[in-house]
Amino acid sequence: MNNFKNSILKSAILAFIITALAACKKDGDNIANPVNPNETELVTTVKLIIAPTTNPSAVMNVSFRDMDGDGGNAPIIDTIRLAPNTEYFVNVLVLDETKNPVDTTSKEIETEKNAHQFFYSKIGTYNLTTTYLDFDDHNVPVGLNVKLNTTTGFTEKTNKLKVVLKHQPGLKPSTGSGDESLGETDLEVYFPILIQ
Amino acid sequence: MLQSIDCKNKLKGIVLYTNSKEPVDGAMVFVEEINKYVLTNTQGEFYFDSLCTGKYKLHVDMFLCAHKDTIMYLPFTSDLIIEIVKRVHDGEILIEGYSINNQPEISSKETLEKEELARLRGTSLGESLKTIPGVSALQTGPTIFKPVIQGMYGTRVLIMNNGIRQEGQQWGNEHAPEVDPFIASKITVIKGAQSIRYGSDAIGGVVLLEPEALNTFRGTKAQINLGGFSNNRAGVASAIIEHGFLKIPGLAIRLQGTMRKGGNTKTPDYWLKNTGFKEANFSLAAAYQRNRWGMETFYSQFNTELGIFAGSHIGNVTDLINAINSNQPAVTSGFSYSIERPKQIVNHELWKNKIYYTLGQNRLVIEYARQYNKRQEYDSHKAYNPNLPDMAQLQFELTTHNIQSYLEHKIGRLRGVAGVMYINQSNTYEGRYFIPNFKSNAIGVYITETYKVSSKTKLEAGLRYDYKTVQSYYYENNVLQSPYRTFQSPTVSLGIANDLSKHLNLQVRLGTAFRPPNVNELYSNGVHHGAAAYEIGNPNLKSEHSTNLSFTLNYFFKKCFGYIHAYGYYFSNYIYLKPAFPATLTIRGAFPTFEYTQVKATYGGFDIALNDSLTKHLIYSTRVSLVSAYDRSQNDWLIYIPPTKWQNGIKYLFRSKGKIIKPFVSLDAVCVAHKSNTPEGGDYKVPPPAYFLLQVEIGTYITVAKQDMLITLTGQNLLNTRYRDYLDRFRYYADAAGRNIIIRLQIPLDFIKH
Repeated sequence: MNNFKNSILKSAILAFIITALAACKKDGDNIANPVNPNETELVTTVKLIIAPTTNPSAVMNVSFRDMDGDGGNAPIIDTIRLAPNTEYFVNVLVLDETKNPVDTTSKEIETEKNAHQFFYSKIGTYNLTTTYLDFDDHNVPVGLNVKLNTTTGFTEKTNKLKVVLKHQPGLKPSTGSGDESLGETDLEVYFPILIQ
Repeated sequence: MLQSIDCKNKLKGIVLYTNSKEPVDGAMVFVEEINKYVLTNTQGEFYFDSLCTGKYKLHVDMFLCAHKDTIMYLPFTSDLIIEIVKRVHDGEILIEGYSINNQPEISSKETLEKEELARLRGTSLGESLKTIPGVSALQTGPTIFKPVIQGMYGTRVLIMNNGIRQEGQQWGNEHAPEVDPFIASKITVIKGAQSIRYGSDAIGGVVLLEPEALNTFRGTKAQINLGGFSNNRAGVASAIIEHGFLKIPGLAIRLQGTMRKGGNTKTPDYWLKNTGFKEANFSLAAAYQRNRWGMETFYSQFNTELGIFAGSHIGNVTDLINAINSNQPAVTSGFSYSIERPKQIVNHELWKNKIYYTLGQNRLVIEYARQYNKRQEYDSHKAYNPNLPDMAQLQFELTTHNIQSYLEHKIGRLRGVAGVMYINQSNTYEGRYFIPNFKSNAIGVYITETYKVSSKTKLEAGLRYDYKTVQSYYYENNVLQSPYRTFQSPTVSLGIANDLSKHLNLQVRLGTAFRPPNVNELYSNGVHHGAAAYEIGNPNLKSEHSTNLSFTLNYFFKKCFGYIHAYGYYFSNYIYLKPAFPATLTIRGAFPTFEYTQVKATYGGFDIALNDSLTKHLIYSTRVSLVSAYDRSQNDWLIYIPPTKWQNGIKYLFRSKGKIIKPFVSLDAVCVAHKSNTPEGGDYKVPPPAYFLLQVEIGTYITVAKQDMLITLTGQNLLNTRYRDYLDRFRYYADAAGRNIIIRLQIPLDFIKH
């Protein structure tokens, strides 16, 4: 009797412990070998491919490049050098250059154009106009392709062109020319600019 | 023939409570050898007849009592007297007339239990504790609450879940404690450093969640809790069922589960998009009790998915400034239960085992616990690359093993606890880097003793030594770094409690505390999204040391009772995030940069509570708490210290009538002052103005089918006041929740009653 009861008790407790053990979740990752952060998706580069409309083969590449991601080494930023009274086509590439082959994130931005928009603004006082050349399904600008028009040049070295990419899922207006104040900033880079 | 004579023994016994020597009515007396039980009558008596001569083992179980067994030999001519011990409070163990609850004797503590706790059910832990003076909550919107005790939070506040240190990802301000408050039948907040007993890092205080002791009495008992919240259309259902086995005396099991689900929260003017949550938790417990020893096992799981208000997830500083400058968030919506990015998914698992053995007035306890915590944070933007899975951008998995043993003892006028605690932790991350992988080992040895000098005076002294090692692994410029650090320090504590008069009791405590830097303080490196800040750890941080002094004056006049509690902390090497220059330039713009640094700091404050029965039916209560914290190295105030709070309440108790028992109505007003002592230029937005909230509650017990159901109806923020709280990180973006009407129902199902 006693033995029988004890065995019931023992098996009940054993069953409970086994259930608890089997239910315990385990961390399968190796502690001493953490994931190198560069292996996940990273945007390292915003590249502007600039060419005069009259001479499309005279291509200039201007980049904002931060190969090690946020923090660490400071980004390397090129200067945009334009001539006065000239019209330029600009094509924007967003890249992850830590990948081999290089991952072109701007292709996905193009795919999700109804939720993204680039905004261009001048920091400092100088003459430059920006015109959007590409539009989403509602005819609201996207800004992967733009036109720049220069008039008079300047000698100051403090002027900049600010390029911002906003992620606006469900927020991007379906009419007009967009609203920079909405959504989350995916990219915000400043290029020094010279028009001489 | 001989056999039949031998088997005609009669046995008469009486079961008494040890504490009062009163007879026990309805206790179960089980005789192992014949596998039979009887119940005692109103005089506590029980009878067996036709027992054979020989050795018998009797088991006695009673509701709210510790299991008792005894061996006897028949024939036995006189009455057998068996005494059993009734628990005075849940969770306390009585050993030969004195109670042990493994809590410090000289401390300022406040407990939420029974009706008081029932009225707060259905909310998260941090939110439920806000009613206690000196306790507030560091909030991330309407769903994430971190308890703040005496102005401190995070790794400076310890949560003890069922006797085990809660080991989750408590370093983040938007990381809520991973516990289901429904597990506990009693929640106690011990204010001030409790370093000796619970761990040297418990500088601000300790939150103890204690389940009701498992009842080994025969039969089944259950309780159902239901709650409905109008503001976010949330519902909560929790059930607990326990069973004491008839044929296996001393064995009891319990099953508990909670489901919570809520949608978007509404401020007085607009909905907060993506602020829903869903939560599913359960726990299993089993206990086996003998006279001198017992064992327990406990397993619990906590699983939650929380939406983060879409308007609060900030890509860069420009976004933050935009959000701050607009009166109303750009992202609004209607009501929805759906949880989208950005969101958090958090799982926590605890498996605990305990064995204890009592010898005279001493008890030895050995415990082993394993905890596993998984935290996933989803940014508002999933990966651009459509070939990458829709996964969390940040993931942390923390596994903790905890082994502890302690000896509770009493020698003459001296009683105390001596113990040793070992903790092994390992953490891994996936996705974006924020804190490293690490392995850590910590050992602590402690002793604390209370000496009863006289019936009026008690002295308490404690000593502890901690040693901790941390081995971290992370990449810097694609090179694997594996720094190894060790931390160690003694901690001491002294206390005195004295009854100044019949009405006044004074407690004074002086102690030290130390806290090794947490891994995020040492090695974090990255953008903290909600805060729009780039946070950099400091690998050279030393341990944080503090000296603390507190006075508590408890008073009990005729119909009036309460306390005044004043405290001060003097920190050397206080760890905090200091603004650093220049800002960190990233592809998303420049982020203000903060580096962990150590300064000299002072905390000081007081809490006052008063309850006064104005008439037999009318009770007035008032609670004030004030805290300030100052950085002595830079001569500036510290950020995120709770503003002064003053709560006033009036409660009217009606006479019970028929099936309506103890009905009440109460009116509570909360005034929160403007926070004035804040650092200059250390914050994006000036502290919000003072606010006033009104709450009304009606409730009663109703007897239905012999069960006393508790039903309450509460109106929170009844005036639908627009306000923002200084400790709410969402104050940058949106108003706090508007009016909320809550209905709560507690249904006990007690099948043991007869």
